[in-house]
Amino acid sequence: MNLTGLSLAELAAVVSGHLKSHGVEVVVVGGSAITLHVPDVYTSMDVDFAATSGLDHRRITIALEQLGFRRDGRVFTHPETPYAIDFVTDRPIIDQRPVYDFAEIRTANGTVRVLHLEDAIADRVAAFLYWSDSQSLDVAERSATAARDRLTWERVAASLGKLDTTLPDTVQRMDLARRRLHRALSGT
Amino acid sequence: MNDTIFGPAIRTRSLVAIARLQRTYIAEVAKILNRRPLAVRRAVASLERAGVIVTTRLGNTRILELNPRFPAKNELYALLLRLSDTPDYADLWPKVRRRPRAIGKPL
Repeated sequence: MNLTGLSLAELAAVVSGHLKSHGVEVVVVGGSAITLHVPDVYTSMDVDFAATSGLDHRRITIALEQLGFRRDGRVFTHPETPYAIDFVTDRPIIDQRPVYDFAEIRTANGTVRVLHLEDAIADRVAAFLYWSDSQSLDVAERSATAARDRLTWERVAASLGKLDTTLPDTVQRMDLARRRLHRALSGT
Repeated sequence: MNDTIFGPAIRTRSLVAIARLQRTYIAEVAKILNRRPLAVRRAVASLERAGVIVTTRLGNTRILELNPRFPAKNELYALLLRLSDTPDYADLWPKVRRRPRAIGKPL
């Protein structure tokens, strides 16, 4: 199959469908999950997959090589697409919480499972809590602004509430993040 | 307006940056604030003498962070984090990447 010109979502759907035919179930996680939901906010240059059926590297490699991908370090690359494919985990985890419920995004090239946007936002906020990664907080806020019409503060707050804020400094960073996201969703 | 509440602007801005970044080093603070490393180094030395921050050497790099034993550390951190999100500072952070990137993964 020719991958030239495919968007990140379309590529994720092609790869996801092909892996499924090899018995490998995947979910898009990380920054690429944000890109799938709100492509104008953040452009990831790789697709981070969690292989929920188990990280069977041999089976994954055989399947991707059939599509023309080649292993390049820890990622898979393809001459027809700028996006790299990475398998980061078997079970999607936000903070220390395993995630079992996912969204599905339909594309012209098939359907792909992905973290719910609320969980993808919480995942970005987690990077701000633990590594002071302001870039992630900025992406979370812009995602909330862009998807204001399909998000509610209650659902975003519920995802944020599952993050670990037992350390004193993370409590204060969480306060800042909640303020920013609430403002983004309320449009004030 | 917020630039001089902890002394000269470079001192205040360095302190806000150290709080926002949590653990950082002089070259990073200087780059974010667009100031010379020497100026930041002087500000850091002054903040360290005041007991507000501590520095530790890690390899060839001197790591800067708020002093966890400063008596009002939590209150100070809350204030500095709030200041870091005001318009005077907010534009400094969105491009600062601190999250990990796995070895072998292209940027």
